Amino acid sequence: MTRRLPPLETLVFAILAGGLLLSVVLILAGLTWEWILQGTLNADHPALSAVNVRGLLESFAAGSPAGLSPLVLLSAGIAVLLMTPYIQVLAAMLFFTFRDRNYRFSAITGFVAVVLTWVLFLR
Amino acid sequence: MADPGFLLIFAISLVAGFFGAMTGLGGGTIIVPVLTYLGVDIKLAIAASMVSVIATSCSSAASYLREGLVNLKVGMYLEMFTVSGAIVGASITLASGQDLLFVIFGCVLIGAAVLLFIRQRAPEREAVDNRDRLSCWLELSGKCEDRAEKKTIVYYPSRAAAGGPLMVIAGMISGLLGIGAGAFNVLAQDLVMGLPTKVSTATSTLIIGVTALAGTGIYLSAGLVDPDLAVPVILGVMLGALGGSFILIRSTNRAVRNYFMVVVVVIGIDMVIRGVS
Repeated sequence: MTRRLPPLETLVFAILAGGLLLSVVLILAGLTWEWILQGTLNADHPALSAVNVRGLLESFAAGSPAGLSPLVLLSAGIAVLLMTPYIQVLAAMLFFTFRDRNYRFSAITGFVAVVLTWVLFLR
Repeated sequence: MADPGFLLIFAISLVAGFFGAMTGLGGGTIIVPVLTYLGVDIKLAIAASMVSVIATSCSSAASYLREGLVNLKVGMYLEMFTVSGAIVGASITLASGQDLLFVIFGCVLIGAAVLLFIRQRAPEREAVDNRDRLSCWLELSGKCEDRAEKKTIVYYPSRAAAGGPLMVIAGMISGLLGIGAGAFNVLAQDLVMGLPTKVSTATSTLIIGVTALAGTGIYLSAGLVDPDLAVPVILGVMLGALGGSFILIRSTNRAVRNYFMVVVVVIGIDMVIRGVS
């Protein structure tokens, strides 16, 4: 039996599944590249330095300080993974505001979005 | 810090993910203690585990959404409380000494195993319309299909005013220890808000991802997210959890699950002893 999902469920499903898939592809690409370059997966990368997600994304936009490297792909995979639930919350907020016109849940998802924006981008 | 190597961390995470899914406690509850046995700093282990919670949450929530078991409104309402708790919890971890974290982790492991054990024995309650004013105002009621009995169950979440603040504690535990704290989420939704067990389990998978993201933000800004640790943990826990869920759905032997719970309690006791000594 195939069941048709409501629109919000479909949207959230697409974001979660798509984000996870993209993240895993980036991480696997980074690992494969590292294996080809060094013949091992035990490279000693530095911890993602004390930045927030904004800093991480800005380093990709600037081509990364170290240039394109396996670490950049691995970090991009982690960044995409982190952005997935964030985008899901933003999408739900927009859905409740513009599609459902359910302003109670616009406010609830808006609160979660503000807290996440602060912790990920503004701290 | 000891560097156990990619393949070893991956293999351990695979087992932890499997183990976590079989017990219902999540991979983080197993991977953090095991990584500390290998000499990894507990704060780095917690941060890596926290990132892996996001991956397992995305994977399980997507699958539960397709089954129509997630109540998005309940999830999003409760996320308000869990994200706030997670930020507080992660900040406490940054400020705490390692010994204290070992003791807290051990106590939470023991507590979660006992709670799950009790919950397994609690009979599924009939859906009763017992809504308070907040639950009515938020229009949280929903329906899901019971495939075994081939019927649609309509349910009415109640006591939203009490369930929300309780979830601050679940969020705090999650942020503090880098675990999903699904056992605490589900218990609050089951016992306080009266959701059917399947719905609370499914909705909890969505909540833990957003909660873990809030905690991860704190760990990331403290420079505790190490890709060499996070990447194998993410991949291993996610794959292990998929395998564990696959077997759990098909397994009818509760004794196996109880055996795993005993092992979790033993790990918990050991963590407390390590913290104290």
